[in-house]
Amino acid sequence: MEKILEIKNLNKNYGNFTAVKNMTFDVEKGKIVGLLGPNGSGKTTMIKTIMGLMSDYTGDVTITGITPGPEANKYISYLPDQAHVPRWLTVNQSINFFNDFYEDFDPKRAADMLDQMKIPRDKKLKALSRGMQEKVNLSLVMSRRAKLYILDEPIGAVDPASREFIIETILKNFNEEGAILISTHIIADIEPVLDKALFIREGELVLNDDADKIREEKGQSLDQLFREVFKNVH
Amino acid sequence: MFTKQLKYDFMFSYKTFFTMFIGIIVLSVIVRIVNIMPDLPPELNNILQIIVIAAGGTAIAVTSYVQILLFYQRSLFSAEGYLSLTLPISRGRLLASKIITTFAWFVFMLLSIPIMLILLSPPTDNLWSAIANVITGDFVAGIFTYVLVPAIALIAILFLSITLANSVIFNKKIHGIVAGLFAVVTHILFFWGLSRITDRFTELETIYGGEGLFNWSVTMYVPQTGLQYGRIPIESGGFVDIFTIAYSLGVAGIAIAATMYLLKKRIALR
Repeated sequence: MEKILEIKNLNKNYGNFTAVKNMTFDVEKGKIVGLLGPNGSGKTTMIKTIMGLMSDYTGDVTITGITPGPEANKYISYLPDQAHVPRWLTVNQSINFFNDFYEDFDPKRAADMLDQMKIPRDKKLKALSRGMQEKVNLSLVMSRRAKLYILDEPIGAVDPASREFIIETILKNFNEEGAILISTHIIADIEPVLDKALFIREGELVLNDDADKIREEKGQSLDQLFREVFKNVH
Repeated sequence: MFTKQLKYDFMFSYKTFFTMFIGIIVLSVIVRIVNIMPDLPPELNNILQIIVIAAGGTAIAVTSYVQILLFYQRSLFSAEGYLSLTLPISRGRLLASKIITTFAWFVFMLLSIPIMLILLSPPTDNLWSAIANVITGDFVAGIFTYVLVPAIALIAILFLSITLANSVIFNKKIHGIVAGLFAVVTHILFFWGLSRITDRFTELETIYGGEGLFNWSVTMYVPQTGLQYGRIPIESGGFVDIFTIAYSLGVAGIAIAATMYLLKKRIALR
């Protein structure tokens, strides 16, 4: 199976503090992989490394065989854990922005998604509520036919109804020729869609296996296992 | 894609700089209107003019500088940096777009000064010939050599300061202090070097200003042989312009190269 993302022996330190220790895993085409861990476990650091937002690491990171940087970014659709689309843009302008920079972006799909969500497209992003801004960001990201989607805490700051909507949006719109890496600490909602689970604790990968296999072997859901594995971690 | 980046950088910044520009023009118009009121004592007219020119010039300089700083910081190192730095555009082009945008706005803001002066000048029948007398080849050469080209270096140094503060080298508690100190020191060193180059190769006298209060170097070029802006008479030929320009471009080149290195290899988006 084609590997979209490959990480080998990744280490990242902040001074004397090791944020990511010897991490090795890959993400295959067509798979939805959950990067699961509590706050501060190293998920976002690892994602930033993949996106080229964090340099000064050791190990190998490749996205469709390309090292992190502008060339690799052509193939990655990234949703960070904070609003990143310039808030001074209107919704329509943000669609144009993505269309200008990403060849695989589908502006009609983005417009349709936003219309279905009844988001006014002539308004500036800063005039929208936080939840609506997040929906706009998600719609823009999922309107690309990317090889790899990286979603950092896409459901972390929204209500349960919105979480369900976000997960549906992800499933309906992702490019099946690509793969998705979802980082979250809210397991129960995301568990049903995961093909593979990576548990990360204090920068180390403590579990890396198919979601079904884990459930079968452990006799419990990923959410229950997560609570057990991380119960003493704050 | 580079032109698209330029487009969005201009879109991001135009309101701020236009607002400042319009504000200065409006202020000048107001002072001019007050100036032509017949009952106003001439001393007050003169004082008003001086205040507006001094305040306007200072406001242009300080506000432009702060806006340039905020423009670069926000677009690359705030939440928007998660988008800017993950676009499929090289760090070099990203940086070039910021520099070009900033320089364009600097030139634009510079234009507000002559407009302000024209608005505040006494009425004359020969306004255009008065302007033509000032805007000689020497004047343009002087503006180019001593304002525009050094501005590129100053912008590059400022961007380097901000990038350094946002790199892995310094932790986030002190990055503001780092940026500030680095910017101040490098600006002073740049102007000092510029004045040394000019002293060595010209007959112009360079004066340091503002030393008493902030110990900044503000170099003023005062020709020893009368007001000839841009005219650099030297015995061996017109090389001084080249040296001065080369110095500014050299400093700009080093600052840009260092910034690119940090953006590629030492960035830590927080």
